[in-house]
Amino acid sequence: MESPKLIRIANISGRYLVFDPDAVSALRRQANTNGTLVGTTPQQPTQNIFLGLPIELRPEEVDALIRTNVAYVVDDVAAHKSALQSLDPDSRRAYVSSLRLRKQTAQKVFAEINAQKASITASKKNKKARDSSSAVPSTDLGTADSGALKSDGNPSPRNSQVTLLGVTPTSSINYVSPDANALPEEPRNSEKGSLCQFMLGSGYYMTPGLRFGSRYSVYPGDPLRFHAHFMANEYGWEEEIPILDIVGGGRLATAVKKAFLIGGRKPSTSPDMVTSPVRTFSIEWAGM
Amino acid sequence: MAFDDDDSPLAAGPVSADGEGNAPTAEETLEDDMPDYKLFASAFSKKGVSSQTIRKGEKDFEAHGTRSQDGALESSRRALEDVLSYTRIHRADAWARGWCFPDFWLDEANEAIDYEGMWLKDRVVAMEHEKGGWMKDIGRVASGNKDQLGVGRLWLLPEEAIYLVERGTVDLWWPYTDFETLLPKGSTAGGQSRPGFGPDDYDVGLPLSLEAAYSLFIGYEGEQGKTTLPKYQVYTHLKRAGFNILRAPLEQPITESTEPSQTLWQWLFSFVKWESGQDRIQRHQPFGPLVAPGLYRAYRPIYQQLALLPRHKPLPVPPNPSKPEDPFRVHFHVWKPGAGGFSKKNPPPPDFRIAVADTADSCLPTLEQIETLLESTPYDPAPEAWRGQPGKLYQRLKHGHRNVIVAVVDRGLVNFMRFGEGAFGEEKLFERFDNRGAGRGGKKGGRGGARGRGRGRGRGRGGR
Repeated sequence: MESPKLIRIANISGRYLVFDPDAVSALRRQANTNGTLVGTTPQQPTQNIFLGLPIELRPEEVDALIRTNVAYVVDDVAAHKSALQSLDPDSRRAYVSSLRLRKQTAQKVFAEINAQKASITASKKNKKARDSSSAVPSTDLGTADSGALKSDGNPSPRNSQVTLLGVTPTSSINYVSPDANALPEEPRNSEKGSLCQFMLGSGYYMTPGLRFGSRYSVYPGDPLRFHAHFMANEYGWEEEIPILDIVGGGRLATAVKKAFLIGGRKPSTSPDMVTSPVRTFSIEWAGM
Repeated sequence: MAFDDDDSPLAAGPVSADGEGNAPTAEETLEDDMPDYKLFASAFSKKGVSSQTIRKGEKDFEAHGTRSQDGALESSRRALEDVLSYTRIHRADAWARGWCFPDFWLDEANEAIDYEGMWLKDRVVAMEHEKGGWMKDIGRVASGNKDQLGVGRLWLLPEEAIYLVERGTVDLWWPYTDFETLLPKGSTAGGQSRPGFGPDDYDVGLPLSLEAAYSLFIGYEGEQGKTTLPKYQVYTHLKRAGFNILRAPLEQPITESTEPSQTLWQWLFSFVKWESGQDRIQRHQPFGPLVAPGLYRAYRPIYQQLALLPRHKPLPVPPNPSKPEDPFRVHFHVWKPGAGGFSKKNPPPPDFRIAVADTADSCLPTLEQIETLLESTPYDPAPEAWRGQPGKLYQRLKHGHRNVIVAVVDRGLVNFMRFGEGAFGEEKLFERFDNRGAGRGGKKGGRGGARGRGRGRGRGRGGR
């Protein structure tokens, strides 16, 4: 892989979001973090099954990404505020030209596709006209004409005059400088989140466990391809775990062909030992 | 672990931004900087936006290191990346521009009528154009003195603005000049475009990205002119599903204040002290049997003596409602789609009332919280048709006397839970047996009466 660029995570009012599609795919491919797609897909905005950008990351995932030096966090609200209120002429020009370019490109593509469509419909029309004219020459003329008129009347203004008036970029890469208002890296040294870090570090993918009643669903690979293996919950090292949680979690996970996983990090005894081991247990309902 | 797909030759990293030569014609003209041909190519084909194309076939249990698996994963990833790299474009026929004026109504100089449900001070985007069918429940026209700036324009709330940008409907711009120049008084939304203010005139303002919209309008709880991410996620979830949705007014007036006024009939009967009522007061004594010895011809008096603990009785008007607090406060009113007669100005009573809680910082509501939340919703007992029907007992209990939906958000996933004010005390099962007894009198007749008699006799004998 080429030298990985640090991924910019936007902190917007305490939430962690990634807007750039390239960053999202880099996270997925290189840092086994897929996040949750939370946006409306503009291509199909009336469904809740497949969502689009941005992705939202959990704080503990962000923590893990900072620790492994994959990503950094920016205060996106402040970054935008300062960028919008005092955009220097150069970056403004750059942004405007990037917008113009995108627009131009889109226009080209659009015209091309339309031309393609038009040629297809035209050839169809011709074929039809030829077929029908051979069959019923007298009545056909009128209908074919009106048909052609109609079909031409519709796409032609589109073809010739279609103007794309605006482009809304997904991410602000082009006018907010990527490391403006970067937040100092300070991985929180809390016990919580160590299971998440540990699982990510061992190459697992995780999604929110809400649908199965636990904190995480843990996948052996990209959730696009693989089933989850575990439903995971994190506990503190000295935390008392009600036995019913184990039975409930175990039964629930087993019912959906997964194992229930619990884990926690042993508090480090000496300050110089940074990474104390994380212990994990997988629990299955024996069903006897 | 088997993450060979990371090292596989097929995974060539993120799709390179230069669109590797698969764009023959467009590339000729715009050679070197062709940043997003791919983005736009996918922009026009609506194919591929489904979980089927992205996730082809059945998923696997684990990686088995085969090329076919790697290939399947890679093609899924590419499909996903294709869909995600779409860039929103606005076509001439549907171009609707919104201007960002977050502090406009906070300024004392600007005045408009602020009424309940208007949320004037939270409205942050003024629409220059009004096109499309989305205005059914989105946006409000500021009303007031026509000489005031901003009056007569459609204004959006933060969640509405992000939603419209996100679905590609609105082109959101940041102004670089004042309001009056951009949206002068008297110019209407459908007016002709003025020279100097067209889509290419970047001197007066700049188009904003989706990210900018999020950063401008997503805030912490209680920030003016912003919404929180969980609330926005619930809002869009419902919008995508087609519901009509409005912010719930803050102070909900309790409308049913007329309800407890008695009808003449009730008033007359209030003079008659029911025998059983007197019994209950008398017979609750600290000693002796719970049920006083005596001759009983019905179940009611017996059960009433047995009822020692007070039961929850839902009242049309709660005696001293307290003010609900976030997160357990009705935040959205939601209407089913397609039920005619919806108007955002005079909305009918909502079909659902929704509070928004986030898994990160809220627990199961306490009794006080849920009680307050429920009491802030109107009294809504089961429909008349269900009452008194034994077969509808469980439906009645499920329906409750008040109900509210709590949307639980876990990092973007939304889960809806319905809380109903159940009242088991209102469903007296013994009444049925008593009524059956009345059937003996021949009123009901037929099978029902016969059955009731039969059973009554049988029990009577057994008791002796």
